[in-house]
Amino acid sequence: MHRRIQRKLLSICIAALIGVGFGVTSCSDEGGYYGAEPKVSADPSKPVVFTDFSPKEGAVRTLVFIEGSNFGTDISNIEVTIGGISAPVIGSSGTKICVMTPRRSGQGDVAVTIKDKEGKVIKEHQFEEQFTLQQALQVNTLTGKVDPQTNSSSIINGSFDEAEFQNPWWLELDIDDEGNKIIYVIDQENLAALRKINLTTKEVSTVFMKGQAGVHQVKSMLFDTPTRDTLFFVDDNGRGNWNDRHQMPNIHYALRNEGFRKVYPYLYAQCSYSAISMQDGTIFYNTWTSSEVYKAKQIFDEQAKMWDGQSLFSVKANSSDHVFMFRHPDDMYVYMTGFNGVYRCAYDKDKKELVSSVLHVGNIGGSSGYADAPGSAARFNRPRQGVFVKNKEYVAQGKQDVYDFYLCDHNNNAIRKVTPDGEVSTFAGRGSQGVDGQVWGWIDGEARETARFREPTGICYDEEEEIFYVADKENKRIRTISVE
Amino acid sequence: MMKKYILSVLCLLFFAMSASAQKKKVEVTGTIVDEEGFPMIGATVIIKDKPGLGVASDIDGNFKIEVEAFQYLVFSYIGYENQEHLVKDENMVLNVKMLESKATALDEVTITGMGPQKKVTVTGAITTVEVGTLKTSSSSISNSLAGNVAGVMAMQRSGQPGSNTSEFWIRGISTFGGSSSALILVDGFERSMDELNIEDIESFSVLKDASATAIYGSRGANGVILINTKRGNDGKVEVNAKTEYTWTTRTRTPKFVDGLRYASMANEARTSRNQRTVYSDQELMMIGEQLDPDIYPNVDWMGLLLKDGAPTYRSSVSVKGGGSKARYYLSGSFLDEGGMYNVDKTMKEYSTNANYQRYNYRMNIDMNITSTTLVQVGIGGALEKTNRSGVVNTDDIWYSVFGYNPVTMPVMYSNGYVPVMQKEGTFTSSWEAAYNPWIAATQTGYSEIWQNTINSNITLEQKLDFITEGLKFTGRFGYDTYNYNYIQRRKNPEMWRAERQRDSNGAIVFNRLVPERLMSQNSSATGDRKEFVEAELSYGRNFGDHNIGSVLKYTHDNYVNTSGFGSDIMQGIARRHQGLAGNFSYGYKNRYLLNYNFGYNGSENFAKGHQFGFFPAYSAAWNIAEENFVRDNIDWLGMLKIRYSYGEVGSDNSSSRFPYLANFGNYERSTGAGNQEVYYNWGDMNSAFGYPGLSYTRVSSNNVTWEIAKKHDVGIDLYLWGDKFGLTLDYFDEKREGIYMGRDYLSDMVGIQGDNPSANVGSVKSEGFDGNFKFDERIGEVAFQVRGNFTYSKNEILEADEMVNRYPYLRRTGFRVDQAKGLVALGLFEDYDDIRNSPRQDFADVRDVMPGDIKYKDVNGDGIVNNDDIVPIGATTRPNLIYGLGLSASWKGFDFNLHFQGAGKSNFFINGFTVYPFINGEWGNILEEMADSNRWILGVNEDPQAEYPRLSYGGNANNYRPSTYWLRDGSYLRLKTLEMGYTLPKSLTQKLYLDKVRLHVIGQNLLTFSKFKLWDPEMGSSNGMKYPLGKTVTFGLTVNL
Repeated sequence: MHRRIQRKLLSICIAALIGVGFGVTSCSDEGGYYGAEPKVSADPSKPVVFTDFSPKEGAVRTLVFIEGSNFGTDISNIEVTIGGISAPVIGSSGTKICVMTPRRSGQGDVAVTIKDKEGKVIKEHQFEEQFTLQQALQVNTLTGKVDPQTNSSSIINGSFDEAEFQNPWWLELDIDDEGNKIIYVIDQENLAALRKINLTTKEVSTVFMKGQAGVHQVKSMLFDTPTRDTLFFVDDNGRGNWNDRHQMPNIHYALRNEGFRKVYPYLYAQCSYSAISMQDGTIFYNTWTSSEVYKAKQIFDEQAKMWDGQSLFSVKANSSDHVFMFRHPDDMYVYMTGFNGVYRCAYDKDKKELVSSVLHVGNIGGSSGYADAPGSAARFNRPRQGVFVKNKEYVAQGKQDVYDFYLCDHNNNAIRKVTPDGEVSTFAGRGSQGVDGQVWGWIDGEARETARFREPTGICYDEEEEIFYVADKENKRIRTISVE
Repeated sequence: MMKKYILSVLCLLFFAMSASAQKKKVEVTGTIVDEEGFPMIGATVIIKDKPGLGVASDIDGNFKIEVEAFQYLVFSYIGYENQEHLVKDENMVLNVKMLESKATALDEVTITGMGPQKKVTVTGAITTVEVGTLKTSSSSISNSLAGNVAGVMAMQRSGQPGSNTSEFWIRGISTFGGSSSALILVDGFERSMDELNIEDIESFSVLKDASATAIYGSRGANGVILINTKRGNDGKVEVNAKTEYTWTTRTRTPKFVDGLRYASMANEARTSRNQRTVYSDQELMMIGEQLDPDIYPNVDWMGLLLKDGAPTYRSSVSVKGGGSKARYYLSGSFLDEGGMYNVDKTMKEYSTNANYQRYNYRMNIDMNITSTTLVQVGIGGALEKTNRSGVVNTDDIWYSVFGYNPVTMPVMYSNGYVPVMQKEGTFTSSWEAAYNPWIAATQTGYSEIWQNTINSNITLEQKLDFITEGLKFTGRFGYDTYNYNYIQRRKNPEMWRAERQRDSNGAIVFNRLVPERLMSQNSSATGDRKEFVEAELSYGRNFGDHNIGSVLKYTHDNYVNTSGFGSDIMQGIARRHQGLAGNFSYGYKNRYLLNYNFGYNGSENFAKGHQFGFFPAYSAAWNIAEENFVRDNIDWLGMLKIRYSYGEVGSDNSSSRFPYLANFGNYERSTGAGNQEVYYNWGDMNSAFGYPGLSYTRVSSNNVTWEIAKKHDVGIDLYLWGDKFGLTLDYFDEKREGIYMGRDYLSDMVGIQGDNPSANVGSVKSEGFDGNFKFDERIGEVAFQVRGNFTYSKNEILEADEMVNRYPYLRRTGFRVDQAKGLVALGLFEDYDDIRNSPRQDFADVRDVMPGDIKYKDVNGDGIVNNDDIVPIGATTRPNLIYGLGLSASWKGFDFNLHFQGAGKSNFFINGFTVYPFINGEWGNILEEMADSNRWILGVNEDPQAEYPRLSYGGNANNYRPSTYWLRDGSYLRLKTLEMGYTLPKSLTQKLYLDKVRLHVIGQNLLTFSKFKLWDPEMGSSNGMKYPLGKTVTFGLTVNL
């Protein structure tokens, strides 16, 4: 009897042990990653139902959500057109499809085609309501191919799809003798090559390489005013001392009738970053030491048999920086970008001389930052090329100065706008603010909300088409900003 | 399979031994009964001095054995006295009545530095642990110390196989200088106990006070742990096999919120600080419905990385036996701890999991060469193999799993690209920490580590009774080698990050952040060597009631290791110690006991003249229970002993080698124009021509010498009703003086360049209690034991090399070693009026402090809250109180064991990118506990006493700094062990020719109670980024032959 109980106890105990053992160890051992969840196509045996889509209006690139059921999750078997243009399908949960509004779609019908897994169409649907495309300022990419693996590129000519830029730096818009719209590009700071973008034929070519031109470190270029037959290249020749002013040219030129292919020395002076050619033909240039501005060819040096410039003033007293100068189209004044601000110099048309500079916007001490604010409260971080753009509102208001100034804010990765009254705002870039906390990148889309640049430095404006072209230096691409 | 093989070989071995040639045989039969006349099942009968199996009595207590004539038969049964009977040259019937052994408190043995000693005569503070109570399912016995051993404080910081050992300190920390870890002696030699096989341990004792450790001189300043391994004994061959299977899960794993919740809280953090949101409503919807899993994923990285649990296998076999001439103990064991990481199942060539395997062997042989000479040889070794993923630092995986939020990266882009959040080296020194957890754990190749330890020792014991009775010489020599080998085979795939927006064609724009690396190899190896020599002359004799003992011991040890010293000669020189230690003891009738110890130790790390130190220790004990008037009148008092000891112990544990030597180097100063380094310029201005000059790079510290601990200990040992109830209680007080530290606050006028000299300047006082009790009782057939122990210690820095400060609370002096310091939080600001009316808080721009931010106390009352208001708060990360409470019971074949362990007086700060929400922007997950807690939410819950302050995105200098707000209580109580066992009845095991079969289930860390819930409080981790501690269930089977 006793023994039987013991045996029973024993067997219960062992059974319990085994039971607990299974209980504990049979916990799932599964986990880890086995690839993405398999995509399924719509089930042809069940009806595909469409209920609605939203939003009903929006700009290009707006995400539109189509609701219903039995769409399948395999987006390769879902086709959507908006206004007859195929819209990229981003994703589908089976009951919701997400598509992106394509460019050039206009106002249009929203049509959906659902296929089964063999690719056979099982349902086509067109919504009764239409999608209304709204206008919005959009940033797009014009040209510039980059190897995504190494994020590298080189100087390669060809169509817009295959052309590559090293680091586009400075832009000048031109119309050639045949009426083609051309953008000349200084590729790379200090000029590795002068590139030519033919907007009409959609082709990129090289005008000359650095070695062919015999230049040192070209920082900027400009057409002469008013003939636009000559293209000047301003050279940081590395000669900062007055005594060395005759060693190397600081401005070169090339002629239109030679296709700007041959480069000649124009002026010998200290290192310069930019120059301006006023409507009366007067040329001014600047230099490093004390950020002085010179009027070209004023004093003749008998000994050297050369013309020297005349020092007018310092942009910022006793301070040196790379300063770039931009002429107001009506010669009202000249803007100078540098010292993390924009300085303004009045032009005395009688004396043909620039009058000393005052800070227009930015920090008087030259400290950098990012702030959209009026006057001296605004902050920039290494402002580079800028362009004057006529504001139709100002014209309608009958203002005297009708130009806004748009400039590339290099380290803020943005295009900034400066009004004649000194209001500073961000025109494009620094969009898609999100978790990564970044403001730079290569993102097209709505200029403020979405788009991003990466160290833009060059800008020009096509008044006829109302398109900005931006040399997006670190993205190695030419970007456009326009209303679509 | 392996185990079976070993078993059968062993079986063969002893069958062969027992089958030796036999002469004239007689047959002995009989019955074995207990005192009450009941037959005893399974009592063993062996032939004296004949190794072999012997026989066991059957269910009715009958036995039958064939013996050669004129031999002694030995009858034994656990818990009963052995009996010997002579067998003559004819068959006989021998009926034996076994008597229960009467162990009393007076017979209890304590292992001391001088060998086993009756507990009643011990005058020092020593805890001897019953090895059976040390239970752990992990690889290291150190994990069973906390709450089990009075006087030991321990904490386990990681659960990763291969590094899941506990740190421990005897009586807490009493220095901030060099090492504070205890000396561990295995079989008398300094060895690690982490790779010991638990089944090999015979005895485990902890020497705590100066008189107990004095014999070890300098090395014993932080306490000594003595471990002896099992040895063979005279008698029947015992084969012991044990196998265990353990399923390890985790005590507490931090939980993170899912993608949608993360994104909405990120938005809240931004809007709460008047910033624009991170995610639009449309993006939140896309995260919720997973419409674009490439750009808006929702990944549970923790679930992806970790399995539910991992198995551990352990088995061991040992054989012991022998005769009067020679005895042996042999054992082998195998352990395989599995890691909890998921592995890529498509990868077959190698494993990336964190696995740990260990093979142990041990062989202890004792030989009586002559009747007075005993030679003991012991060889033990371990081979440890650790496997890991290819990332160099395995904590990087945890860094990454805590850092990768659920919505930024998918596990894999739909085109097969591998995502990565940041470029290598963007934010930590370890560039791999930026990899996503799945990649770091599975796609980076693998590393293998193997460690090889061989311990060998030989002991010669010669009785010198021919000179004078009681004199004995013992010589010991030990030689240990260890090597560590590491091979890393590292690779990684190409890694990409998508732009936040698709391009106008709907395609994803990728940027490559990390280039592919093909598998490459990297290896290293280090090793060390230890040699020990000991010569000991001991004398012990009783003269009537007087008991005299003395020991004189010379020791010499030598330690060299080769870990990457390159050409540094100083590091390559062996570290040597030399010492002479003595012990004199006198006892009168076990009643009055006196003890004097000294150590005279030398260390070559000090300059001549400072090398040797003399460290005396005195102790005395009075056994009140041995007094005649007590013995005659109070018979329930088994033992009452009062002990006191005082002694000095030295320590030469300084990290720097030969501090008395100076180093010279080039005089480095750049004075030339344009940052030209010209040193001494022999040229002209603007045309430098420089030569470097010689200069001290380290100034010699000639007077550096021993750090000295002055220790007092008062103790009481009490046994009541025989040994039914036992209690030991000790109060200790230690003052550590001359703590070695750098003189970092010397005036510049001294003119020292380079490293500052060091000196023995620090001083720490520590005091505390430790004690343990046990109570045995038997009610009917149920025997049970209740036991408990605790250790409490508190230290205070009396002196340290530090700056003079006008606020005494800013100094180290006067507070604990490693005291937690921070601001005192007064809750959260209620409104802007509250901010205006409070002292200015100087950590962030005043305009950025908002309602819901932490309000601090202006301790010094100067109207500004700044770093001058940082005061000592709480205690230390290390617990200052450790306690344990156990209960065990047995009934028939069943046994049951319960052990609770707790720690108290511990505080730590929590910080880091999961605790401080969104401090690093997108890097860092959000703890679910935080999201669910009573946290401050603008317009929803503006409770000034909320548990978490107003959210902020990208850090908040005011809130995110050490203060009482982030100080957590590290105390906990846990059900450390729950064990149930069943021993099969003898009647059944006998039929299988087995002596004993026991099945058991052990659960460890099954329950944890603590105020702190985020992760296991024992780890003391400030951010939880560690492999979690294990919660285990073990099934085991023990078989004795």
